Amino acid sequence: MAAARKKPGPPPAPALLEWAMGGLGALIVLAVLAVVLVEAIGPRAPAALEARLQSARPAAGRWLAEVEVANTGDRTAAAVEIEGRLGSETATATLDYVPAHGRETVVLTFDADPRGAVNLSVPGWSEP
Amino acid sequence: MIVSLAFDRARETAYARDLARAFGGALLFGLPLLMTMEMWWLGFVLEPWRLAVFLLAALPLLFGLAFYAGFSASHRGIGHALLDTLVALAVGFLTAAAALTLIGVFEPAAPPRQITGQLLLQAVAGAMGALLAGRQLSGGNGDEDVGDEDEASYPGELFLMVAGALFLALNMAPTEEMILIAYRMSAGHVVALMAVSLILMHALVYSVGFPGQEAHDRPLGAFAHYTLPGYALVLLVSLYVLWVFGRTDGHGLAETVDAMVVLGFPGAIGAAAARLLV
Repeated sequence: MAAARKKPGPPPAPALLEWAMGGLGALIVLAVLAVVLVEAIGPRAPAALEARLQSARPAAGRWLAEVEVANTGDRTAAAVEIEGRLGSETATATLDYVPAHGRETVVLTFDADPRGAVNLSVPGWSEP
Repeated sequence: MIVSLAFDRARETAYARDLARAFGGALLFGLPLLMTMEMWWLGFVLEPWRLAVFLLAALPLLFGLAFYAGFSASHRGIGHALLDTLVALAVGFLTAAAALTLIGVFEPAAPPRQITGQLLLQAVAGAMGALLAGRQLSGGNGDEDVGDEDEASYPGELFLMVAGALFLALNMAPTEEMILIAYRMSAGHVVALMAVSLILMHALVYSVGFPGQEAHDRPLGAFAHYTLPGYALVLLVSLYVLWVFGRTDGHGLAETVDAMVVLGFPGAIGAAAARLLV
């Protein structure tokens, strides 16, 4: 290789950009550790799930009910079942995960307008 | 390490180039995990203290990689390695944040703890990639050889094996398949896989070569000196990674050992090839 060696000798001083990136790295790591450790030390309430009707609209002869499932607990729930009863009709859906303090949305379908009349419940889930 | 706060244009642009290479490395080595759905889920499924242990345990490992590899030519010594570690972590976090946003993994209403967990898991792998970038993406110009790995002592060699094993094990462990394979294998399969891991690892170690191997030019000597302790470390790395990802929970001793051997197979290849990577 004919190219001259570019950086001989002792290691040069770090560039300003390097100090900036290093500082950013330290900042991010400390912030992430703070979030995770505060979470680890704090109370760990079990998952608590609530289903709430968000909106309903007719489509293709049926009613689509958009249901928001919120987890107010500190643990993640997996394989969450959501059940909606409207008269004699029962609609179900399953969510893979609802993270701690997270929200997910599912859609249930009914023959009639579910607004005001639907009975939503979360019968069960598993702890991952 | 010399500290100078003067603005030197050439120095800044040279470093910007190294930094771009680090981002390239983080993306190249991090993409398989960035596009693995189990990694997104593990970010909020795992207990916070497990995530904290994972990040804290990664710090000395990244520092070691920064010392032996690093992404910047002419970066030598402890001070530079420390700074490189922090920069690599910044690169890992930024790459993970950008990539996960781009592929729509982040949910707008997600709680901060969920995003933090998802970023943390990805950032460690990305930071490893950033530190390996110097060697992998520098175009093989011998004059700009990055890193001090030729000066590695025997513990240093073992450390590089651990880093190589961790790197490959980290890429495989989040998937369901590791546990599924372990369930499917009979005792005979497990023993055979251990034997193949050891033989392949030894073949790679012996053909790639370690410094100081002159003293062990008999294959048996190198086997006892590098391969056996290396494989033991690989199995421990597998156990650690399985534990971090919650894959040992609720498993008996036999199932855990099976999974260790399964994950130890890629781990052994990673450990033996560490010298090519780092």
